[in-house]
Amino acid sequence: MTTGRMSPQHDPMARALRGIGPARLLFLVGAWLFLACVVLQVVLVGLEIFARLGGSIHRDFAYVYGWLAPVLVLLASAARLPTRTRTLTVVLLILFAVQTVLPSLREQFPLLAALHTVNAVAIFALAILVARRAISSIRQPGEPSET
Amino acid sequence: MKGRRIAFAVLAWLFLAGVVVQVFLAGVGLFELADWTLHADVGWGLGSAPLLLLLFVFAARFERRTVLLTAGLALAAVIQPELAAARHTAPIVAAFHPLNALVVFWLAWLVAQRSLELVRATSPDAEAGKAVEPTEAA
Repeated sequence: MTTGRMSPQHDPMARALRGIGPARLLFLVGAWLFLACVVLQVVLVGLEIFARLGGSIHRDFAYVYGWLAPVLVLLASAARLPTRTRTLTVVLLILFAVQTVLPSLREQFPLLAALHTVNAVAIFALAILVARRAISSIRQPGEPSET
Repeated sequence: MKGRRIAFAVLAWLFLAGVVVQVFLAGVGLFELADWTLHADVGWGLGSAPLLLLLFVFAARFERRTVLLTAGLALAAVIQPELAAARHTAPIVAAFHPLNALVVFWLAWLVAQRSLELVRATSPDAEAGKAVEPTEAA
């Protein structure tokens, strides 16, 4: 008589997760969390501008989730993801770093500061690409690390 | 058939470029390089541009996915200036103006990518009236 529970060796889900590896799983979670934070960040700026939400929640929130950008670079490397995915995470980190600096250029280089909005869209687009690639890496765990 | 597809692709990429310029104009207003007039004026024009894309979609008999993407883009683009206009009466609704801008950008990007695939997928069969289904967008 069986107990109705599969041992980890026979559980297909457990086997699949072992095949994917923790680094790829963490990368998937991190990539989608980062994208969700970017979207929330844009909602917050909308609330600041249109609903006169007080304080500097838009700026402060960037420092709450900003650590995810370097973590994604490390996880992409640890998960041995394709070169293109790793490059995208590095570019994402660079754009995010630039994004935090751009508003401070408001006085000396206002035209550069105005690129804050365009850079935000670039970060959003890159975050989507990285999140989609994170899903691909789970679907094809045996994929070689080079594209 | 191919001529319509090329025209659709040109329009789709022009619209995407317009969205990026419009986002920059928002930055210009936000960082007080100029007032918001230019961003607002361009926004009203840009808001109705995807309706032209919709016409091409139906004229060129594109497949369902392209029709849906373009219809979604037209809807998001049309409500975008309306959201900003609601700032005095419904500021919480207006607060979704930047988020909807991301939606417009994302859909414009998908439609532009799709338009290139459709041009590439045009074969002699398509010229004869049979639409060739491109592979799933990346």
